[in-house]
Amino acid sequence: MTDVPNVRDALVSAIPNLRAFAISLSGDYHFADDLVQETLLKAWTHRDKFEPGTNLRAWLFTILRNTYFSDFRKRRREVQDVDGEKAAQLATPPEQYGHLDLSDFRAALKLLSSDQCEALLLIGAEGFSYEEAAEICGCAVGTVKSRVNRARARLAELMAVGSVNDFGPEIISQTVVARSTG
Amino acid sequence: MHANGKNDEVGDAQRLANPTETGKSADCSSDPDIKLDESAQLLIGQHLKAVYSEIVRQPIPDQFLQLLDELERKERDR
Repeated sequence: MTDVPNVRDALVSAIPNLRAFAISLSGDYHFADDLVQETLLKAWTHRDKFEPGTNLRAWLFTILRNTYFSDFRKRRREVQDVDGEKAAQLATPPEQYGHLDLSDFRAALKLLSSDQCEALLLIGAEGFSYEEAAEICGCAVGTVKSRVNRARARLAELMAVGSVNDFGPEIISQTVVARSTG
Repeated sequence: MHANGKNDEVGDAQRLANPTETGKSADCSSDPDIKLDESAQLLIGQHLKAVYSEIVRQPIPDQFLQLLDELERKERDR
């Protein structure tokens, strides 16, 4: 007999953060919920592989990001319509940082590369250490640091006047093409 | 299903017809060592946390609880 109720409780308590990570990373609620569902299923199925005493949260995030980067990212490209709309909204440049609202920031976040976005979320939003994030992402600590720096620099760039206009329309046209496959 | 499969062809043709395309060279790649000023970095951090915690605070969708209930039930019935 395993300690089933404990596993369940632990998974339930991790769901809000897994979800926030999945939504922020993928930029799509429905897609993210599929991702979390898949993560929970895998975690449950492989729960004997989890070593008690180690960081369950990090383990779950590892499963989620591996799932995202292995199969889900391909699917995501086909459901990117929301991103295009958000990018279009961003095309109105804020006068200065202070005037940015959260939807502008959300849109800017979606324009980061997946690698950079992931690193920024793990460090800046989830509060993992660089070492933990490196383990989750399966890369070197220095790589995580560099990705976080790039992500921040890119966000600053995106939030600055004008720059978004350069690639917003491109994303929107990609979206239109992808959309027609649905 | 594709409503119009010609998008890519058209794009390629235009590019071929106009090989000396200029003015699109804006390289957005950032130097990893770029140093943001502190206020920008702080603001990015604040926005990130605000956006993130907004989602964290949302109620857990039923589908996840149902999934776990179902997995638990299957486990018991085994």
